[in-house]
Amino acid sequence: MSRVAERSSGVASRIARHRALPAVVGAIAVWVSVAIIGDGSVFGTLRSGATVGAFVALTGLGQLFVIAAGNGNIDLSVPYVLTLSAYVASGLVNGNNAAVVPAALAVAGIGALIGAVNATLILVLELPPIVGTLAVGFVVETIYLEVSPHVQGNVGSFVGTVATGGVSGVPYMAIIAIVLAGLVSLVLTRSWFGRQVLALGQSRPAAELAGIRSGLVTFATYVICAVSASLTGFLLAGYVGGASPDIGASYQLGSIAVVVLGGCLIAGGVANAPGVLAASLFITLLVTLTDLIHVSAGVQQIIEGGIIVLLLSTVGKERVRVT
Amino acid sequence: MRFLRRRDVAAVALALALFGVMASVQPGILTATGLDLTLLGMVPLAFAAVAQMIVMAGGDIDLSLGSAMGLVNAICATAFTKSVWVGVGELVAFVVGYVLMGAVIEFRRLPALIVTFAFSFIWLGFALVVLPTPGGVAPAWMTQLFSYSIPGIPEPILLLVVLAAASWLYLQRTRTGRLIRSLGNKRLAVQQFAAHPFSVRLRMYLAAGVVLVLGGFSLTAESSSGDPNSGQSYLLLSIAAVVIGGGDFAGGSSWPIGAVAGAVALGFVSSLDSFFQISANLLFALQGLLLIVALGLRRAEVLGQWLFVRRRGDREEGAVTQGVLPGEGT
Amino acid sequence: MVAHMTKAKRHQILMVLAAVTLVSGAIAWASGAARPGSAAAAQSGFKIAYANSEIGNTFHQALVSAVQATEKVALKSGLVSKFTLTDANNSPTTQAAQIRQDVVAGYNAIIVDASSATALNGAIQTACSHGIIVVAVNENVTAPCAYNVSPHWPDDTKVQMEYFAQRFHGHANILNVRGVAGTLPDTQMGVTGVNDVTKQSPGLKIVGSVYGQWTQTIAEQVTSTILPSLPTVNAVVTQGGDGVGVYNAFKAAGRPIPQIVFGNRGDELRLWQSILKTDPGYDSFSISTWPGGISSFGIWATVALLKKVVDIKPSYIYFPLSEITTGTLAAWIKVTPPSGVATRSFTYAAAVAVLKKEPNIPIVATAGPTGPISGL
Repeated sequence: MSRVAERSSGVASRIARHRALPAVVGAIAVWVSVAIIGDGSVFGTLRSGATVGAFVALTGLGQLFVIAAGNGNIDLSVPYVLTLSAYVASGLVNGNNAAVVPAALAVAGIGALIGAVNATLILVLELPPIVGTLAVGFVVETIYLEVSPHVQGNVGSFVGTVATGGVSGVPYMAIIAIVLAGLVSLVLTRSWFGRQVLALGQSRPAAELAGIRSGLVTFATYVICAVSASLTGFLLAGYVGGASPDIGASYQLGSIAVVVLGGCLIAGGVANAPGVLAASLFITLLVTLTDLIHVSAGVQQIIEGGIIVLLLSTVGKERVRVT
Repeated sequence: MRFLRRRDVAAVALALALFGVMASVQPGILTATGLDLTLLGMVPLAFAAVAQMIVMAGGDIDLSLGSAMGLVNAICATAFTKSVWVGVGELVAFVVGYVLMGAVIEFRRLPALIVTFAFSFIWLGFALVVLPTPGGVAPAWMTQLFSYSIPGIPEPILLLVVLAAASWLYLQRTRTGRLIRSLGNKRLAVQQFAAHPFSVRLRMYLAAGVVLVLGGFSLTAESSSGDPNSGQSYLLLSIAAVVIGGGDFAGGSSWPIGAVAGAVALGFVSSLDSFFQISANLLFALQGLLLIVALGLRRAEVLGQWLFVRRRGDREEGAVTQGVLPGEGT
Repeated sequence: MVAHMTKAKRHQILMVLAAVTLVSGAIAWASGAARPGSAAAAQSGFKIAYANSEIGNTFHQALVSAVQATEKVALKSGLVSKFTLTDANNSPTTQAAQIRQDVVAGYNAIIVDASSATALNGAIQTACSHGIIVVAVNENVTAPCAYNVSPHWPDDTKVQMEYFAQRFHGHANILNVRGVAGTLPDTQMGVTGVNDVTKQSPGLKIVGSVYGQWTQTIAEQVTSTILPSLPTVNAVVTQGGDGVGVYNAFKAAGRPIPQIVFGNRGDELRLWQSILKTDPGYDSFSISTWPGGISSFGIWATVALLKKVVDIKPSYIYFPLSEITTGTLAAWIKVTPPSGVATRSFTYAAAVAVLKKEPNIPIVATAGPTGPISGL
């Protein structure tokens, strides 16, 4: 089993490194364009882009595990988990910085539970992931709507500083995102679990023949995704100073987009954590770029979509897999 | 009782069951007017579901569907007031663009999910250019087209039946249809049919694009004006309708009747609170649970086997497979 | 036979059966639990349906609770014999279907908080042709047969811009924080209202335009990424639900806080109060509309129209914008929780009094949370 996994992760990392290049190029190009057109601070733009982009990057790093395991796995419940966590965190911390750690554990636990529900529905009832996770998301929505009128607090000044501040010009959120991406990379390439995920994504039959317990591995990926979504919700509540029902608005397709733009194969088996960071920065600053060029909203959207298509066209070759 | 093993039986059964439940609470929907009003709103969704089904049969998924419907709606509400030819021209340009999207997917071997995601911005952008704020007027002929009715039969039923039948014919009985389905079926090479995958994928997006144009017509007729954002909710609903109807993301099979029935069922689910006095918060949980149940019912084929097939040797695992290609439905 | 089935298949069937039981039970419980009062049908009284657009933001949550409170009063008074509230999760498709179902069910009037200015027109037209009165509250619809009960939305931003013109003596750099592109409210506020004033005062320069989508997180994110590229921003024109996010973005960027006009959400009011503590000279105000006011007024106006107490043809029934000043701020904060919205509701009598004065209604009402609704 280990030889199959090793071989697949070796091939995978070679493909992956090459596949992150367009996202990196795109991020740099957009950043430079904003700096030139906007006639403003180059590093200021990078700082704010990195802070804002870090949130979607965090959700993307969790989503990455689900998609990497292949077999059509995807998690659409991310924005709902995120919103529920924002409320729970606000209520539990209630402005008291000492309560942050227990609240984080509680929130992670809730995320793990929802991830477990997702995985169970998909593995046992064989629900298609797109609709199954969405349905779970709807149930979570009801929960947070019921909870929301009773939550009045916020997540406190410590989390607020982490979410918006920085040290010597480097935003804390960027540091968190970079460290986590590094961790995810290590897990995928060097750990037994990570290699199982990639092997599963590359060829489910081969992986199962090699003795990999696909059910357990898939289960773990959904739990990881939901936990990362819930911790992102905690941080987002600190970023904006409170929870609200629409706090998760842009994170549904966003978390998937940064995974695929970053170089992961949607079919699974190839994953690229640094690519997720680059893609997050790219998507964040792309909106800024189109806001700066004084064109109508329609043209803005066309430019955004067009640039993404252009970037993708330089990647190509999704269908490298044989089976 | 073999029909019980079809994957679209669950969707049809669900639609009928929901209809029955709602009719018992609100007998008014059993009149011609009531039926007409109830089913009218499901027509655009049925078109959207069929378009999504065509794309999914080929193994892709279209995340730009909502924006595309909005674009067609925006074009219909503006271009035809200038002249018919401007309208036709813009719609043709849209279909060409949609096929181009398919070309990008095939030519560069890109994942449909992310390409269509990017194109959803492009369609929305064009819709905003054509119609920056909600307004416009549906052309009179379009509204009339969709309110034509045979006495006694509400038009929506006619439309739904014709749509299901036409898409079934296209996908099951034409050569292009079989090619599209084999494109999605990962185990077979399209080369077996001596057709280039590129041309097949283009034809697939052409078919889906035409269905979307018709769906946009029905949406414009139903709302009698234009809103560039009005198509957004069709995206997730269309995917859910196809999946409830028996389709899946691996491609290779298509269940047009299931997709249309799934659209009808989802139409009922979304107006749940019109029929039962349900608190707005709880509505979401109920919709989620119903989706889960509906998809669980897809496994009704197993239940059917268990109940009706006597001899062990007669039972098959999985759906009916009686076409030339494995995975092909009837 | 059972023995031939695999364990997995049996498991699946059991789970499906369990789910079906669970769901039927849930529907039964939800129908029973949620609606006290609607079961009691008085002999007289009108049947009114309220088609709400969404409950995914605090403004609409406050609006819906006012609807439910007003419903209780209306049913008790006998003016209304049946009242239904539906929610469309911001989908025009769903909302149109719900309106059509209200037609089938034979309601006398349908109140709509539209999720699209035009996509509901077909359903609304159908309702009107069945003799049903249609009243659109909060967001406007373009259907000619419907009444529109709302503020004159371009005035929301016009008031802000006129204030900037006066405060900055006609010369200022302004950031325009808009809503969702392609919607009528965004066009009314972000384009019409703003341009009305820039035409008169060309010294007011729009140095940047971002789409905050009426959501604090998005407003904060798009503002913070564009700020490094902008010159000094003197003032920010907002559409609501974005004030806190905009403020946070300026603070995180270390920029001087510009003139921001706030909305009326509890978090925004508290933020304004905290700014005043450190900078008592920070001159600002809050302009928005009372969600509970507009919904309760809408319901009573509908009753009045049904009873033919007033004779108004389908057209705009103007509802004032509500303004909070530094003077009334503390009083409003006392009655508005952080996750709530500053609002007050109308009684039937108060609504009829206002209706009789239409269209001579002030653009802005400065009433506090208690006492007479002055000026109306």
